Parts: sequence; C-alpha cells; structure tokens
Amino acid sequence: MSEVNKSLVAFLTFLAAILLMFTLQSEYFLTVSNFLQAFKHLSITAIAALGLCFVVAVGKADMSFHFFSCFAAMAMSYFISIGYGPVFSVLASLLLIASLGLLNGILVGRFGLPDMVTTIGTGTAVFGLAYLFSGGRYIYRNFIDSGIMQLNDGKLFGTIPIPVVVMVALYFLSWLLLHKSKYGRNFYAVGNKPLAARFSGIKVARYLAIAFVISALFASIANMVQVSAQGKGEIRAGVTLLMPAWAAVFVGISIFKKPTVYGTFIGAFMISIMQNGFTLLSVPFYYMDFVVALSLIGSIILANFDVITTWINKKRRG
Amino acid sequence: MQHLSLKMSNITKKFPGVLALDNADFELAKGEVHALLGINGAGKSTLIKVLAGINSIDSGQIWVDGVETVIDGTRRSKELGIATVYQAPEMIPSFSGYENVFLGVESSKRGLFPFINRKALRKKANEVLEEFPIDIDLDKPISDLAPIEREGVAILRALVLENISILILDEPTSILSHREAETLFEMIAAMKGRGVSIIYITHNLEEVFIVSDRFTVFRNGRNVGTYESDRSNYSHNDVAELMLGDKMTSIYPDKSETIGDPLFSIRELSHGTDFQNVSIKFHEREIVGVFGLVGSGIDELCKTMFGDLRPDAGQITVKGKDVALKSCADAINEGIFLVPGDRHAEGYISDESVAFNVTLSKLPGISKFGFVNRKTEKNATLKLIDKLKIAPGDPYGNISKLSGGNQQKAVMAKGFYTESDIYIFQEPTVGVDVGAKALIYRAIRDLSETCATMVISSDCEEVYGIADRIVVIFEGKVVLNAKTSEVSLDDALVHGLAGGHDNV
Ligand SMILES: Nc1ncnc2c1ncn2[C@@H]1O[C@H](COP(=O)(O)OP(=O)(O)OP(=O)(O)O)[C@@H](O)[C@H]1O
Ligand SMILES: [Mg+2]
Repeated sequence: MSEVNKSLVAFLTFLAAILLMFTLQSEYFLTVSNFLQAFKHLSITAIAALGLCFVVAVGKADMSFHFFSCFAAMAMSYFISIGYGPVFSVLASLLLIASLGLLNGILVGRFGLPDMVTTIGTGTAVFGLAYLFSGGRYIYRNFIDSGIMQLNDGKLFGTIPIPVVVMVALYFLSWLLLHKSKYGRNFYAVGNKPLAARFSGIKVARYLAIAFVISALFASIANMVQVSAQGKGEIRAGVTLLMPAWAAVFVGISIFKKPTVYGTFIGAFMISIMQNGFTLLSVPFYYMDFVVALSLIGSIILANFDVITTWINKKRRG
Repeated sequence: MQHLSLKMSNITKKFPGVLALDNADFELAKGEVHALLGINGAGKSTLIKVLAGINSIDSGQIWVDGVETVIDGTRRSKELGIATVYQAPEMIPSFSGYENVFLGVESSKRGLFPFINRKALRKKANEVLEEFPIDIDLDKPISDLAPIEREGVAILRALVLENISILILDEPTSILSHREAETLFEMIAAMKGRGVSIIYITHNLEEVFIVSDRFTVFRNGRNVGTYESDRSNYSHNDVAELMLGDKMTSIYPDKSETIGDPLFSIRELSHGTDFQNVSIKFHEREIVGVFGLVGSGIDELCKTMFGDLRPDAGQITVKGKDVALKSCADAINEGIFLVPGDRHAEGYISDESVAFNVTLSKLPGISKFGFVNRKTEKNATLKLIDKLKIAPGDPYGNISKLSGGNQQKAVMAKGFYTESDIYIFQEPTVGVDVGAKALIYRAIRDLSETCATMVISSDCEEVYGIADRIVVIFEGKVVLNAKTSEVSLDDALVHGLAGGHDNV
C-alpha cells in the first residue's frame, strides 16, 4: 500500500469512528434533514477552504481572506440597502474584492513581499475599510425583501440547497482547473520551486496573483451565504472562517501530501461533521472549539501514519 | 590490508519496486581514500545514506572500527565519527553560511536543552576554513554564494564535527571546475594524513587515479569488485567497462564536417560587470562549446540569452529577427531553451512525477482545449525515458526518488521535449555516468543537425570533446573563439584560467 493509501485508510477509520459516536449519542444525527443541514454548514467552510487551497498550492499563506470576506459581505449588504438587486450587489462586491485580492497578489508576487505579514496587513486594513459601509452597525434595510436570502434558503429542483449547489459547482470547476488542466501543473510548479518554475517558462507572478484573487473571491462567496442566512449584513460574520479553512486544507495535505481539491473537501467535511455533531449534543461552544481542535490534531497525526510508524520503530530499536 | 575502519556485509535495502542494495559488501581500510563507482542508480548514494543513518537497512551487518553497530539515525552516525557530504546537500538558502554549518551540529546534540557553543563552533569553522584553499564569506546567506562556495559550506559542515574517523563525499566535484577540484584534493590529502578514512563517490574516472588508493565498483546494488587504483593496471576504459559490465565505445561523437545556416546570434552583449561586448554566432550543425570558470560571467550570459536577465547593451537575434527578451517565457516562445546548471534549484520540480517534469515547459504538447491528456503525456515521456535510458522507467514515478544522475537525465529530457530551435545546455552531464554521458552527447549532436546548440561547462575537457567551435570567456570577455580543430585543449584551458597569458 502506498503512503497516501495508508493515510487515507487511517483517516477514514477515524472519521467512521466519529460518525458512529455521534449516531450512538443522538438519534437525530443520522437523519436526512440533519444531513442536509450539515451539508449547508459544510458548504461555507468548504468554499472558503477551497480558495485558500489555491494559495497554499502556490506555496504562499493567505491570512487575509476572512477579513476580505467581511468587506465583501458588507459591500453586498450596502448595495442592497441602497436599492440594488441581489445579482448586481453580489457581482459588484465580488468585483471589488477580486481587485483587493489582486493587490495581495501583486504585493506578494510582483514585489516579493513576505506573504504572512503582508496579508495580515492588507486583511486588517480591508476589515477596517468595511466599517465605512455602516459604521459597524448591522445592515437590515431592504435585506429581507431583496431576495438575497435565496442564496441560503433557495433550493434547486426544490430539494438541493443553493449553498450546496454552489459548493459542488466550485469544487468541480476547481478540480478541473487544478487537477485536470495544464494550468494546474503551473500552480504546483510555482508552489514547489518558483525558480525552477520560472526557468520552465511559467509566469510565476501571474499564478501567485490568480491564487490570491481566487482565495479572496471564494471566501467572500462563503461569507455572502453566511450573511444571507443571518438575514442582515453583519461585519464580523466572516472572521470565524480563518481557522476551519486552514484546518481543512491541512487535513487534506496530511492525507495526500500536497494541497488538493479533494483533500480540502475531506478536511472541510470532517470539521463540519464534528461541529454539527457537537451542536446536536448541545456541547457549549467553547468546549466545542476545544474538542474540534483536539480532534483535528489527532486526525493529522493519524493521517501522517508513516511518520508515526517510523518513530515507533526507532524507539523500539534504540 | 591493515585494520578495517568499516566493514559492511550482506546489506540489503528495498524501496518500493526497487532493490537498491542487494546483499552488498563493502570494506574501508583505515586511512585510505576509497573511490566508490557505479553507473547511475547502482546504489552508491543509498549505501552512504545507510552509513549516515538516513536509510535504514532491511538486513545486513555493519562494523565500525571492528565493533558491530546499528546505525539507526544521523545522530548515531555522527557519534561514530562518520561525516557525510551529500550529493545534494540540504541548506536553508536564507540562512548565513555559519548558520548552515551549525545546523548539522545542532541536530546531533542530545538532551532537553541541546545548546551548543556557537562561539566555539564559529572558531572551529574559521579554523577549518583557513585550511581551505578557497575563501568563503560565511556571513553571507547561502543564496548569495556561488556553487563552489556552497559546496565548501557543505564540506565545512561535515568537518566541524569532532572526532571524524570516516569522511564520505558524494560527488563533491560535480559542480567544481578543474582548479577548484584540485584544491579539494589537497584537502582530502590533508584529512587522510590525519588518519581519516575517506569514501569518495565520483563519475570522473580521472579523479579515481588522482585521489584514491583503491576503488570499488557497484552494479545493481551489489559490490562487483575492489581494485587497487593503479594507472598501470587499469585504463579509464577498463574502469568504465567494469561499471557498465559491457564494452565501452567512444564517448564523444564525431565532429561535424560542415556548417549549416545561422540561426542565432548575440552581438556586443553586455551586462554590468558580469560580461561585456560578447558576440557569438550559432549555426546549424555546429556545436558551440563555451568554457569559463565560475564567476567568469558565463552563468549570467546564459541567463541573459534566456531572457532571465536584461542586457545593458547589445542585440540578440533569432533567425535573422532582432528580439528583446523580457522573461524566460518570452525566450521559450522564440524557440530558445536553457537546460540550467543547478538542477536542484532550477531544473526540476520535486515530489512530482517524471512525466510532470518532462512536459512542464511545453504543456500544450500534451493538452487539448487546456486539458491534459494522460495518454499523450505518458507516451511522450516514455519516448524520452527510452531515449535517455532513465531508470526506473516509470513515467509516473516521483522524480525526487530517482538517483542523482537519472534526475539530470530527466531535466535533459524536459529540454528535449520542448523541441526548441536554440539550445543552451549548462553542465549537461553533471552527475551522469560514462555510459549515459555518451548517450547525451550523441543526443546533442543529433539536435545540432537542425538546431543551434551551445554547451557550457566548467569541465574544459567536455567542452573540447563535444564542441565544433570553442569559445573561452575570461573575466566577462571572450578571449578565444576558434574552431576546436585549430586549438589544443591546453590552449583553451590556459585562456580560461588566465585569459591567455601563459603565467598560470
Ligand atoms: N527514497 C527512495 N525511494 C525509492 N527509490 C529510491 C529512493 N532512493 C533511491 N532509490 C532508488 O534506488 C536506486 C539506487 O539509487 P542511488 O541514489 O543509490 O544511486 P546512485 O548509485 O547514487 O546513482 P547516481 O550516480 O545517479 O547518483 C535507484 O534505482 C533509485 O531510483
Ligand atoms: Mg548518487
């Protein structure tokens, strides 16, 4: 069995154990309506994590996407409040946020600034700018009547929630782009060895910029869904995306040894399922964060099966 | 033979799908320099990684100084006094030379607080450096150092170890020029004088007779014989045949008789203090060999011709058309391709497949409507694997797990796949065995039928052997440009080392 397979099996066993535990603890856990609910929740983490996956693939870190998503959601709510329709509001905000993502990409890719510090800086600044829309107050005006809430409540063919549809669509497109198209190769090449990528004729700065734009866009889409669910424009809604998105990407890396679209999905799935299960068991949120984080570390250790076994072997021999 | 410093017996090491060491034996006498030879993938690096504690073995026994030992980690290896300079030394480019020297020592300390005395280490490093024939500024970050200086840091890292009894050097000269290699040999002699036993891996057969007392040949993970390094008993050819287990034909192809159309030229090209007013013309059926020492400006010249550096003055002309290259991507679009000299940093993408790497510079060749066609990719890669005899020949194998020489072949394959019109090969045969060298020279000769080809090497003999026209660059200026048949090898060397003044 290859390393990846071993990790995957160990990981799936772990996931099955969690599912079993929740099923035994709550009779509501294994029901269709709960799963639809869980999938809706999953889609938010999963979409944000997917964007981040591109940045990690090009070998950089994005610490700004959650803040950017706050700006995008507030911009959207603002456009709605002054009377624009939902479609225009969404697209206009995405356009704004894409240009901010491009700014990240230019600073890091073209000018070679350090990614962590730069994105913490741009993220904080953009979060500050987001206050301009309402001075930090909720934006209610027109929100419920505008139809924007369909982004969360709507259903395709009357059954599949729109957030799930958006998630599936974005994952499918990203999978095509990163794993099936020739462009995907370039993302990985840039992330692995920028110098070798440049000598292979790849425009390194361009790929870095594209990755940061995608990260900003996807996080913003995720947060727009989140805000529509809440029925008002709230500035802090996107802030909580940071930890689960990074965790999802990293769970994926620990299974497949590199950032992948499918790995990121599995990571996001695991985190959401745990959050959902603990909510059903009415575990207080602060315990929940604690347990989710612990389980996460546990899963990463399990997924790194080879590391553990060589370590044990060494102990035994020494 | 005197007392044995090291004895390895029946060592077996399996990697998934590869038997890298197959019941291998090896003996190292005290105070000898022992060359370890074998074609690419024979198991040389694997054997020394066993000694360094990086590779665990599946079976076999090891004695160090007559005592049976288990080497279960790099720390244990260092405790035994084994110092290793790897084929591709891991360094942190942004750290200074000193810090990279210390890295190896820090990782070998035991205890909860593995503090080391940095001051003492610095002193020790300086002491060792003093004996070095080259001067390295250890306060500079690694990324600013030349290849020879980096190699120096790697060697320093091994030498600051206390109580060295065995020193292992895995292809240390592959990126060094003649003169630099000589200084390395002096160091080896000094170490040997101190009673250190040395294992020396190389693909340069001449070095075997210069530095070693005995040599051992590996084939297919097995020791096929140990011999005295005695020129009167073995010629280069004999050694090559021992390695290949087969007859050896001439390594360089015949020179070209005629010259074809001009394809590429540089006129009065200058870049800062690196090189000035360099003009060279390239034709079909004429391999141009460029020789120059590290620091002579040839590296920058290559990068300028490939669009990575912008010239201050001068003109690059492709098939009669003047071009201004702004990036490597531009150069590739104009049909120019550079196979870079530093394969680890510039050549291949690690932990990706051979196919990924081979096709990376011409992805449209394997894709339709932007999507990669696995079958086209596989077939294209297999063709080149076959042509250059890359082993193991799995197109989807991880390139990082190939032996050093096979990685170099894959980097060459990547160049060939682009089917460019103008090729610049920088150090095309670094780390490649004699058999594969002949193969690569043949392939370059075939290319030159329809392409402009240029071979840049710090190995003057290689340049002389392959090229129809030889250009020597000294301190950024062309000091010799002549048909190879009209100059002698010594002549070319003298120009490269001293710009043509004979007081070398
Ligand atoms: N980590 C690894 N995983 C799988 N196979 C490996 C690994 N390391 C080495 N091998 C394989 O083991 C064989 C021996 O490789 P090794 O690096 O020892 O060759 P070598 O004699 O040093 O060759 P070279 O002259 O090219 O450096 C090769 O077939 C190589 O592909
Ligand atoms: Mg090797």
